[in-house]
Amino acid sequence: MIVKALVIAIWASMNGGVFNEYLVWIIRGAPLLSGAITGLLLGDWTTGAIIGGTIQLLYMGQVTVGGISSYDKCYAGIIATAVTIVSNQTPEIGITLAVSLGTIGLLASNATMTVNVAFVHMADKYVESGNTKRIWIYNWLLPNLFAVLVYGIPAFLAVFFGATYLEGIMNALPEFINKALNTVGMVLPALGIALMLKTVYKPRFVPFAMFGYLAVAYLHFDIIACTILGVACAMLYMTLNIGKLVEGGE
Amino acid sequence: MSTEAPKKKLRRSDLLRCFLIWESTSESCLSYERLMSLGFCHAMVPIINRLYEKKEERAEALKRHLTFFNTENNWGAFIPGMVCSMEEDYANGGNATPDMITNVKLGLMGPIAGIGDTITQGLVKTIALAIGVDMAVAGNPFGPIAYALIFGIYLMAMGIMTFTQGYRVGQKVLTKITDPAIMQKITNSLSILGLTIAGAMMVNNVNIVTPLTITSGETVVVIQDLLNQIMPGLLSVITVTGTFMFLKKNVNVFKIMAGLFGISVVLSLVGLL
Repeated sequence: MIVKALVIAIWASMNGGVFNEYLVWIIRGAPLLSGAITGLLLGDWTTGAIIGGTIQLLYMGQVTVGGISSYDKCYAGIIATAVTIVSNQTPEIGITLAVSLGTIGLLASNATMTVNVAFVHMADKYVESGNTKRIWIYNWLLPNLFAVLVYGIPAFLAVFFGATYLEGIMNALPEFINKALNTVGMVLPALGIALMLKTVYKPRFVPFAMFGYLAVAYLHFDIIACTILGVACAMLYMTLNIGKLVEGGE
Repeated sequence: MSTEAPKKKLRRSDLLRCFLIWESTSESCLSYERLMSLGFCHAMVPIINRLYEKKEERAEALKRHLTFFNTENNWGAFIPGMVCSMEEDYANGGNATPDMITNVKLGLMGPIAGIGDTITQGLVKTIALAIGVDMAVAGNPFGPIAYALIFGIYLMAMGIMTFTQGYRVGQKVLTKITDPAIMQKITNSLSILGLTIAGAMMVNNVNIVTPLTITSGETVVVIQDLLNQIMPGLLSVITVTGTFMFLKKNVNVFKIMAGLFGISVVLSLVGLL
């Protein structure tokens, strides 16, 4: 059992972090496949495929935008399937597990995206030197090591002691931790957007930022509509030769 | 274009390495603050190493690619492709400028993500999964494999195609423009587009709301509803502009981040956020 738990822990860490983007896109995003491979690791591909496929039905057609999802795919696909198989449960129990573990797992994805902020800032400092050799450490190694903590270890516990044990631990975590993480996740994008704003900022073009805001906040444009609006403004600027009027105005 | 310096050219191997890093690590360090920024920067490493000799130039280029970035990474491979051609042009003293590079990234990432997310996840993946799940639930072990093949081939083909196209389109456009006055106008146009998108993203990508309610007697006043009546996304706009002001004053980004982090935690504990 300890070997099985370890194998699943490694497998969950690889998918919880992004050990390889291309493979993660294909595998983690689909409990059908991640479940089947989990089954294979535990010695039974077909059972894994059936459980994973059943869990998959729950999440068909879900689109993840901007890395925000309503459930954690690694918990719902891999850990849930693994627990279902080792405890000899039916695929239907698998679904119930996927729902509860998928929700609990959001804590892990929240924590990952928060802690990754620190790695980006470490990279910020590092690139000041003009060196490129160690960028992979910040972009790949550290986030993946952190994934061992929030995906690997929980996966080990779940397979070794059973899902209820893991749920018990997670539920014992004080509520405020989750709440604080959510708030941090809500506020931090403001810094990202502000940094971006700083790179494109030109005082005389500020009205266009207001147009973008108006279009989304009041007219409920989606991002493609906004782009069309921006392109239209840019084209007007080109053809109307407004540049001439304000040239040297900066 | 200067004549004394020999032309710096990207090799096929540089582009291939850029593409492979992009395909394998672009979301490894997905963060709340800047999403795929470090992934993009990492992918540009082979390009930067080839094009820039001096440490300062490299640092400059790396920093340029550490800004907020988010897209759908399969269709989005178009963007690093195009940026490669722009960096190449810039390194050779061509028409491209750092501002232009940033604005192109910013202008393209939204629409490409919009199209990519819909087609990749909404259409192709759903179809591939429908086929696979149908087989798997019936006990057919090839179900997951059928899905993996359809989706895997699609993703790789899409990535290769968009990346190469991005590079080619960039080269074509950049070599055709020769008049510096036109170039200036293009840069400004891109800046207009960039700012429009940035304004939109203040509401789209930042969503700061307060759960606060005030109960007086029978009536419950939801503060967020009040704020929305003043201006939708008011708290987000205030936070972004506030942060932006600090950045403009050249306050250290790390300090700002630590500050935001601390404030968030405290405000969430007292129930204001």
